[in-house]
Amino acid sequence: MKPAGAIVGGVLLACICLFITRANGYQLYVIALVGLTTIVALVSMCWSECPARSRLATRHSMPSGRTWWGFSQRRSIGRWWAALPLAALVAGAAGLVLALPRFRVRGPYLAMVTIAFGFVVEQGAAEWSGVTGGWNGLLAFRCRAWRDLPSRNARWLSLSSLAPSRRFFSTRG
Amino acid sequence: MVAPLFTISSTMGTLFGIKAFAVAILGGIGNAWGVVLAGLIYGVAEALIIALAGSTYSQITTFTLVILALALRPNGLFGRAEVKKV
Repeated sequence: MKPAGAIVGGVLLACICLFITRANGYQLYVIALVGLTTIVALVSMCWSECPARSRLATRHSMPSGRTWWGFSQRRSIGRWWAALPLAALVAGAAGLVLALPRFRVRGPYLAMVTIAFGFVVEQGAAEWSGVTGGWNGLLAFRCRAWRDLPSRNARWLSLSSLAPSRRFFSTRG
Repeated sequence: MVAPLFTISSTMGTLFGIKAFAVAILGGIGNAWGVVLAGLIYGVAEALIIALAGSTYSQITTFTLVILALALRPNGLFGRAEVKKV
């Protein structure tokens, strides 16, 4: 990225951050949606460069994310940060289970294994309502707070969704 | 044709289609009688699971069985391995 572009981008980013800290609930809702949609679109673009993995990514990303949130919200399991390695272990175990048949089946048979596995993960996460909240998902989860910044979820979501978007465009620009 | 069995919606054929695909793959591609037998086996297995363990985990269990069956027999229960002509 050229220096002038970096400066303009930095100023723009600072303005957006300032706006997020002062925005009302509806504005935050819109900004968070835009940020999250951008992230999902960018991830989809990255995955689409490798078609064999794209179905796998879309099938597993949402249940894995929801399982992580589920773990993070349960006091009996541990603190919020402890949920990160736990979610990684769960995702790794799921990947291992899927990888084993991958060595034997090919073509449409592999497609069926992938679809069936995605179905099992989705249904399993939904039926594990004690952790994931079932088909309705998790409601009214606890807010994250850092120093004296407002701890409303939408504000954090908006701010955090800016980081990967900004990083992606700075490397492609 | 599916409407009497499911609630009518835009996605009512999804699960039915996935099950049909699973049966077609289990029977072995190109083997019509294999698909008929695989359909029978799949249906009986699903009904047994519902009767023994309830309907909550029936789909998880049946699709897990499909994965296991394909892991053990990569060309379906009644399919034959493709011959590569060099």
